[in-house]
Amino acid sequence: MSKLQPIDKTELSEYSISLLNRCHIHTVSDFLNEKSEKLQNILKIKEAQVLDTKKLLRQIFGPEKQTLAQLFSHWISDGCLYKTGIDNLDSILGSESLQSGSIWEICGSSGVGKTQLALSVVINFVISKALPVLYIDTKLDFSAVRIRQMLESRCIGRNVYAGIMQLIKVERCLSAQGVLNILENFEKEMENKNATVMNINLIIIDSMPAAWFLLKANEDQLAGKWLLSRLTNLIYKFAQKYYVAVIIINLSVPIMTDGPLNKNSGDIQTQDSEEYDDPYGENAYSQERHQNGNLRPALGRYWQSVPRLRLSLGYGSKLELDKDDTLRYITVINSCYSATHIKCPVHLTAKGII
Amino acid sequence: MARAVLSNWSEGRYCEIIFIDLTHKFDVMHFANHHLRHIILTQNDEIVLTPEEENAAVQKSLESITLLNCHSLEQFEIAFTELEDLIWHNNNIGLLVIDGLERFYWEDCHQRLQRMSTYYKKWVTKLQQICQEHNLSCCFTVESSHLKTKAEVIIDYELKISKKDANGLSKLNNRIFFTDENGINFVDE
Repeated sequence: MSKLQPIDKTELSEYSISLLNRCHIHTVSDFLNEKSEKLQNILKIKEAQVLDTKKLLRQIFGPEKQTLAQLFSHWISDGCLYKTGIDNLDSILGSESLQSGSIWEICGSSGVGKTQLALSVVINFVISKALPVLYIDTKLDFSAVRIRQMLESRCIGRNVYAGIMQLIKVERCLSAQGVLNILENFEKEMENKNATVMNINLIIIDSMPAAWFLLKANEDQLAGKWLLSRLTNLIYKFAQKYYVAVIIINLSVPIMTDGPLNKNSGDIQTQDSEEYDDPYGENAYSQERHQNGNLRPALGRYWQSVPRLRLSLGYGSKLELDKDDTLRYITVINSCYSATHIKCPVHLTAKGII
Repeated sequence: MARAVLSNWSEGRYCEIIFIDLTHKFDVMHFANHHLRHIILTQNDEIVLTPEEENAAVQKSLESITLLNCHSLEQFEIAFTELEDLIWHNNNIGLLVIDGLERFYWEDCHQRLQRMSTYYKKWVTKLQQICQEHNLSCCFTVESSHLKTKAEVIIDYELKISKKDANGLSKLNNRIFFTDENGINFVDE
């Protein structure tokens, strides 16, 4: 919670704050929830001054307030809809395009081609919009050589390679906190109106489990959930404020059919911690299936409801793969606004996913 | 929300709503172009609207809903003081809507470890107090894993949505439904 800090030209001077602290009013929330009469007595000011100070604190620390009419007109002027550039996928998504201010997830089993799909979307985006993309690489998988290969296969002129690759801004980190630090810096640069950063309309995080699975050890479970929660709030905050679209790469993992994932988690800080034994919600999936058979997106129950759209990339049947090992299927497994359980065939080629 | 805000529009009155969005998946374009327009067109068969009248009804509805976007637990807590201020200054507010009541549970847990049901009860109690004090209705969404000890909290109407089956159908209080661009459609209707 934000601690009370002096604010120029208001009743909140250092002296006032020390008076408030003596009365156990330390945070903005404490101040706002305290009765005006008590604050008047502590600070020796009038009621109108107390109310003005409360109003100012609500403006600075409180939620953004607007009518839906204002939101609608902001969206008309600043919002954008993007296509992925993969024809079959765009066709099944219909009007549910990659929308600025939304989070998509691409999940799939290890090695199926999720990174290739992300790179394909990035290249398609850069080529069509000529706008920069921020690519957060937590697996150290990003390969400029592969990007070049994809551009060559698409018969893109060599003279534009450098320009396209310059628009892909890669940041590498190996931890969950590292991902948050990158995004917090990104937000700061946006607030400072850094010209390069202001033009970024698409962010890719490849991949989340690579950073978050390090936090699945017993003592770090709750920290991992907290960081995931912070990440979600941070992404949605600047995605909506600055009209940025975000795509997150996740892993599909087998659904547990019996028993809890971590049998020794009962010693986390409290007694009767039945709700904390399974902070990633692994057990919740033992009765569930989705269309990919016995697979589910990783990162647990909390993460289930975060993305606006969830796509799954998977292999075809064995027979299909024997005929064509480049074949993959993209399935819409969760969507807030479009039909689900529909899929389309795509191919993993030198050009990327097409 | 669409049905509430348009409940009296044919008499020229609009119920005002405060919407606290914690999941951030709300799409105002979809809401305006699908949900609101669908209700305007189907609510009253006797009235035929011109496009201008339809747009005016949509615009007025959008102006009647105040959105509070919360991105942290602190903002959510401050939203409640903001609520008091909004309600005192506007007699037309009839409905409070919160999407994702459980959203900041892990953030709160980081500061003080607590059960999901404890967190849920805390916020529902606050909502009940506000609704009783100001004679409001409240509608909120919550993830069902937070409801283990729900017997301690009395909710007037509970709508439970269960997981989708292989055909993409879900159940709302044991009635099968599907969603399309116009909202919820029950299969048994």
